[in-house]
Amino acid sequence: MQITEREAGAVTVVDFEGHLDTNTAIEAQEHLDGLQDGGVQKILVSFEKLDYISSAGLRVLLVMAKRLGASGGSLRVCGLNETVSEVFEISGFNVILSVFGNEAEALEGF
Amino acid sequence: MPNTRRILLSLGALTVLVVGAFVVVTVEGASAAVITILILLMILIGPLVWQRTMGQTIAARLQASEERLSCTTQEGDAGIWDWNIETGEVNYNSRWQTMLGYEPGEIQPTLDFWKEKILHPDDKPVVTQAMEAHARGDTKLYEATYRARAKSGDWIWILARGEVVERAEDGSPLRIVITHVDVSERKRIEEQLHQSEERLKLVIEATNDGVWDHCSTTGETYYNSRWFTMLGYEPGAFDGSSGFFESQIVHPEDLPRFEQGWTDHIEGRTPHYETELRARAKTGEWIWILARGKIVSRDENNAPLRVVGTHVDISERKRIEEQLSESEERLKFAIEGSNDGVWDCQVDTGQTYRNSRWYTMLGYEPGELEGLSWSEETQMAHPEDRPRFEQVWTDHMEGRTPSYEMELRVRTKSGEWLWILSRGKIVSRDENNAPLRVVGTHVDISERKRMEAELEKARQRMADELDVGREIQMGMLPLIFPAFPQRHEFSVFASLNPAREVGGDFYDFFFIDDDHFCFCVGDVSGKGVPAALFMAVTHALIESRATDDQSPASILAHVNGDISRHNEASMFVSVFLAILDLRTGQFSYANAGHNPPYIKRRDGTLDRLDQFHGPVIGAVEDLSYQEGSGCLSLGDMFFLFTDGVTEAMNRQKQLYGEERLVDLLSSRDHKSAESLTLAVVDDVQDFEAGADQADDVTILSLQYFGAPEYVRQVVTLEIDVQNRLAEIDRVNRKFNAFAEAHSIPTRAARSINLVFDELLNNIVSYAFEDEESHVIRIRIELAGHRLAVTIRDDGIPFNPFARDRPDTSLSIEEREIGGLGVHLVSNVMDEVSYSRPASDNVVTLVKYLEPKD
Repeated sequence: MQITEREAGAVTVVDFEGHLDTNTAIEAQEHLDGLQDGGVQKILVSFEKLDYISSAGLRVLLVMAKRLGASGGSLRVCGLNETVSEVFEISGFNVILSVFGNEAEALEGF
Repeated sequence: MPNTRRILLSLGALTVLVVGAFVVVTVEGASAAVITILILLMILIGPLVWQRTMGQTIAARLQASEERLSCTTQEGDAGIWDWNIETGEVNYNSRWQTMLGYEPGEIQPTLDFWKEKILHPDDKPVVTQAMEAHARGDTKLYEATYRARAKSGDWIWILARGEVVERAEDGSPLRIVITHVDVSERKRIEEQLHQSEERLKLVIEATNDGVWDHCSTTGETYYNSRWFTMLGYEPGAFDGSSGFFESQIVHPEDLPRFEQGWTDHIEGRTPHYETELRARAKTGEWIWILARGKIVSRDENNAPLRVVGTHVDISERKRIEEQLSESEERLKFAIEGSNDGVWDCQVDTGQTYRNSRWYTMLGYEPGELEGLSWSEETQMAHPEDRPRFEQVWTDHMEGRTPSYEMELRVRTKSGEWLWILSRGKIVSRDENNAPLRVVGTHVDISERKRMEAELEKARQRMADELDVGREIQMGMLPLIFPAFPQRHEFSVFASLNPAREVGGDFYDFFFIDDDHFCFCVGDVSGKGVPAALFMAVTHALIESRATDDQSPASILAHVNGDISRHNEASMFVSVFLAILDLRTGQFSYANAGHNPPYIKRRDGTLDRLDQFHGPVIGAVEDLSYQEGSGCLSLGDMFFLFTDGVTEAMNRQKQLYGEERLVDLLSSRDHKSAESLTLAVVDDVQDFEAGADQADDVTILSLQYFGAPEYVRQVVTLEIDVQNRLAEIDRVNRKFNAFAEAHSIPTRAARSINLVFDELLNNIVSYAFEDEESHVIRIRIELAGHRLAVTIRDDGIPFNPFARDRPDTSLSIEEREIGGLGVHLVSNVMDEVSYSRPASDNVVTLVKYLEPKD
């Protein structure tokens, strides 16, 4: 899996490419942690290029959301494909996390 | 003093003087002088003395008369009249005049004047008669009451009393003195009294009681009419004082009491007299009378002067008292006659009456436990029952319950325990509302208790039988799903939720031959073991007949023939039976009185197979049935059910209904026979919302997958991996290649990736307790649009699907991550199952792909 990031105003957009599963979850966690330690408060996770996500990946997102929330920041997610959308729906994460259709929508008001 | 007498006296005096003087002159001597003086004195004084004496006598008599008169005069000043009958002269005092309103001296009272002007003409006869009577000497005193005209013209009542004070030698009256007293006031009062008495009389007549009034002085008794009519006599029919009452009316048994009561009262021992006695009415009947009386005035010797009394007819009251006493007698009888122990406790004294049965029930002689106190009695209760008994008793004593009732064991004389039902009630309380008297019963319920125990055993036996019925029912059903995993032309899923009591539903499916699949549902009339047995017979007959017969109509006709031949109980069963040609999707069917099934087509439309081909099976012998036919295309779903679905009830007694079922079938996109079946089952249960299930809920769904060429194509992929995390990637890569090769839709493929990630992770991480290397066998099979994945490992027994679903409604803060992975897997796949054959864990997952046209 590849993780890249870019700035969009005050928001750091993190792109995930490949699949976010047990194997790659650790990597993702470390990356996001690093961002927060570096002072980033607003993170937009983009799944435009993500094939699928497993529960391990969901865990990472949940932890990230909690941590950012505790320090006054927030996490948003966008660009879910059908499979990932379905997973979010089944798990109820579409309600817990702030999920948007595309990047433009997600950045608005962030 | 009469004038003549005066003249005589004067002459006499003169004569004496003359004679005296003569004697003195002619006779010498002192003695002569003395005699002369004496004679002179006698002559002078004598008449005087005589006169005075006479006068004194008269005066005395007059005074005596006056005194007598004034004695009997009670009112104020009397007018006095002194009438000289001879001369007609009247002397009067002023009071006589003022009494009549005149000024003294205004009138000259002469007898005529009085007679014409004063005396009331109506009273003349009375007065005249009284006067003449007295004048004749018939009466000692003259007395008359008459009206006198006053000056004003008003009439004044005068009471005149008088006496002749001087009579001539022949007895004729010479002088009469009369006093007059104004008695108008008295007359007025008398009139009022008279009116009062009249009124009283009226009241006495009007009352419903007999009233009598005896006056000793007159010796007369007054009775009101009711006194007589109460006894059925005419008023005045007999003399009440004659002794007739005592001898003819009063009941001989009551007479002594009656007379004693009177004596006691007359002699002052009782303040008034009161007796209940029987009186014989004129008709001869006996009437109960309450006789009351009282002496209201006595004379100076304490003898009764006036007595009054009443009679009250108390027959009604007596009748009621008798009835009451009869009731009590009856009750006593009943108490003694019943089989119950009866007790009656006086709370304040602690004394308790117990009937003989109370004692004999417990094996004692009647009265053997005389003096048993309440607390001692409580000791006879079984120790386990005692606390509750005391509580129930106290609750009633303190007014919290209207009566008390309790079943408890009591120790008999022989030391055994006897079950009794003790019931009691406070029947009277004192002024502070504290219990005064409590009564109750003991009923021997040992027999009942024994029967209850028997009943319980019988019930248990019956429940066991019900279980038997259930076993019969369920034992015949194909319960293993997936039923034919190796057949890919269709999938079938069925569910039967039995009601509490076996309801007689059944379903069945089986292969007639390699290409023909038979499936059916049925509903037996009735419940319980008989229905289950009937169902078993029907089921067996269907299967047996269908082996040789491919026509649903023919199968049902033969089954009907067999069943109705031996159907004394007149049970029957509705059946829907279909036979599907798996090669073509064509099916034939027959409906024997069953609720029509539905077919949900792949495009979402819902068809109802509403043809009936004959009546229910078992009702009538020798019937022939029709049959219908149809066709299933790829993806079409057959939905069979029994009326337990549509007639399921909630607590408000509403029915689930066909409409709701149709809505559910049409609305959702059901991915599989299993999901469709379970969706309906869940919805029915949601609807029932805890209400008792009245009937078996039976559903069978069958999904057809279509054209044989498509169906027959099966491709598989087998991957064996080591139990290492890194292997998961390899699995996915291989699978993705397979998916691409066989055009598995991307979305589905991604789901499978997810599944591999979750499940393989679990196995690698947790399935093996040792550090050894293990092989995990993965098999992927694609048949038509059914994609099945099997994962097999030899680790510790673990069923990932046995865990609770995570609560996805919880928020971030409350969420637990554990179990989420399995939850995802279950939802992403259409079918998941686990089995453990021979110490391996086998997880099977199926996904139905979108069919390609």
